Amino acid sequence: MTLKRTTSITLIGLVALAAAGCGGNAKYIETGGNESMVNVGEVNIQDIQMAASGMLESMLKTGVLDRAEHKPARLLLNPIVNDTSSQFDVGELTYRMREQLVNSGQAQVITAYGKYTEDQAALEEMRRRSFESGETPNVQPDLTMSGKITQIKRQAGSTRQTTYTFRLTLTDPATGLEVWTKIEDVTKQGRKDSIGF
Amino acid sequence: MNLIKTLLATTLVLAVLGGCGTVNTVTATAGENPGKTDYRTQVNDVLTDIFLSAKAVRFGPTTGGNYEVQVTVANNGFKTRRFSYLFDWIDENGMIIETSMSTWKTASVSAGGTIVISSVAPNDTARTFQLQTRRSN
Repeated sequence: MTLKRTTSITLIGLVALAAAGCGGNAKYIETGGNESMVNVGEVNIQDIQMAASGMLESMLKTGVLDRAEHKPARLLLNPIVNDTSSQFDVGELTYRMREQLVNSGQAQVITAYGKYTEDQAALEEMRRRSFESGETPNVQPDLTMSGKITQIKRQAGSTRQTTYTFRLTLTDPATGLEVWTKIEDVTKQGRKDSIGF
Repeated sequence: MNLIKTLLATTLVLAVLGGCGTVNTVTATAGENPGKTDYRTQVNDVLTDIFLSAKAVRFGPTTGGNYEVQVTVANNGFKTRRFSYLFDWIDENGMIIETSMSTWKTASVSAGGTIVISSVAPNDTARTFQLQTRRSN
């Protein structure tokens, strides 16, 4: 065997090793990063992240929260309807948006309000204080949020395609009129699920 | 001669394999006036830069007051290219602003065509952004 041939085989072996990497073992990856799984028939975490990001950008771009009566704007959230066959908590979407809006001081979410109460303890405490002081707390929302997540699934031969549509709307409860709405589509296509995008 | 050929082939294969996981970066700061602005690019994946390259960067204030950036990306190759991209906004101290708006997104651009990708700053003071692009095919 000549030296050239040995060198060639060594190089090819190195390439094969580089291509094979260390796959297979469990590892931590960036949430929603390029190494994430892509499932054609399921909503992945990166789909939710993309939708939340697009919604937030639209809200900030239009300045709809700046036009509210209160600063920061007071938001009351309806439950978002998940009308897809993929099971996931829609809080994954809304909490990502809330994190940005509330922590940056652009909005406040009302978490103790009638049947939309998320924090039962806060509601009971508000009622107790209201009873003691005789004053009704002012927690009227400036805007209410509603929304729905839907899907369209199609197949051509062995190739599957799914479009997940995230839609959110803000309504002014003083008028009942829609003041902001946004649709974010995420479409995935493939014959089988994969890792990385 | 054979060794040179082998080395060239190996380098090409490594470039292709490595390229799909490597990002190129575009950085820019909004100027005094809205419109086109200068930008810096850091090319780590030469193949991506050949197929996908930033052609223009434009800034402008939105109705809400925050700045928006639009980047025109051109595909100089011969087939449709899919790529993922991530915008990060940077504050006046040079720190990346942590926000759930910064997430990897996907786009595709036809051969010979261009596409405009955009991002809105998470607050009304951010004027510098960093864009990472990574080809998917």
